Amino acid sequence: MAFLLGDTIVFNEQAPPVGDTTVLTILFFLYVFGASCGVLQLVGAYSRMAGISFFKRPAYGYVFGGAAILGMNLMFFLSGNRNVIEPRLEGAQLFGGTLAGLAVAVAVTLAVAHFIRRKEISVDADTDPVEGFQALQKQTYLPIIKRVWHRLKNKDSQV
Amino acid sequence: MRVSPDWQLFEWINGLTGNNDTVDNIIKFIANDYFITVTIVLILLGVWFGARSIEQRKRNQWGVVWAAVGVGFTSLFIHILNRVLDIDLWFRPYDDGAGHAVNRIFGYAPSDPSFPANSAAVAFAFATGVFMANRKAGVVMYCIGALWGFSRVFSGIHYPLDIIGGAAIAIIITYVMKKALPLLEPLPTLFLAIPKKLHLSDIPVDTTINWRPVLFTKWWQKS
Repeated sequence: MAFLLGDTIVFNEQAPPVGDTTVLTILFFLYVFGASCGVLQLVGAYSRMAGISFFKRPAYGYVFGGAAILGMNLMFFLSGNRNVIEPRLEGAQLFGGTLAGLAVAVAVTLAVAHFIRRKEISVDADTDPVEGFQALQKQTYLPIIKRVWHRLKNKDSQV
Repeated sequence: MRVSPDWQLFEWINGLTGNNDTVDNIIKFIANDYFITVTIVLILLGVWFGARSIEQRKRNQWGVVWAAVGVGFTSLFIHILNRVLDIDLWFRPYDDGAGHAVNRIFGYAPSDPSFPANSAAVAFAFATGVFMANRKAGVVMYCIGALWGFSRVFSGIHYPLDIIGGAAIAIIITYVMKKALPLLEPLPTLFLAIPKKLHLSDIPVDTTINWRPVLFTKWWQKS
């Protein structure tokens, strides 16, 4: 177990490992997921992207993002000694955990931002032709994805 | 006993362990497999989504694409070097294996040869891809990669040459793959069309895909 004491990090090498590799994989997934949500709030506040920001005021986004990144690092590294041979994640497990954490973080952020800010940001999706990620500057994600879905359906029906 | 500049540099850096517990603990925190890996991924996520202008975001997103391609091909190259060619480059600094004493500050079980260092290769491939699109973010990532490499030598996991070799391979392969990316069409267009359709990318993609591979077309035209 590691403890942060002022500016000194103290590791207790005798502390038992968290558990088996499965537990470590889940913790690693949560670490990537939480920290990625934090980064998305930081970049949402920085680039003024309404579609990924939970908060109207950028300052809250910076605070939330910083706290999420710090909190997830503390959660992962304080919950067990990570400098041990067992349990340890191999390259493929690291890759899988990272990819899953990122994907879920993006999906959850887009969904939560929509449910928090859908009334505040009420641009009609049909009248806004902005393509790509730029569309999220003034809209939340679900209306955009609905438009994509309708387009695909219309294309199919025309064929 | 092997006495080379590489070993001498290793001995000097690795000899710094044990002088200060705080420094040792900070290096342990940096040298493990998780902290820098996640930090790099978080920077890539920030680079992909975070820009105030659409032009900068397009450049950033190209940088992340070049980085991902670079990491993929660098890993493939290292895999071939380690497994298929079976070159005897196993000179990880073991106490017993290398014939000299090594200060290990934490337990580490190697699963492949130490040259070239996978950690340095991955970090420098990501940094090179991003650097070609966004200098500031690239420099930050190079610094993180260098710090990770130093910490791995300090901890007794790698020789300096492992880190330098991994970094050099990654930089060269990522740069070459950036130039060669159009030759891999239509694969890049196929992959980039998905996030574009889902409004998660700003990279302009011509979705009228030419299904004939570019390399095949070039060969056909020559013959």
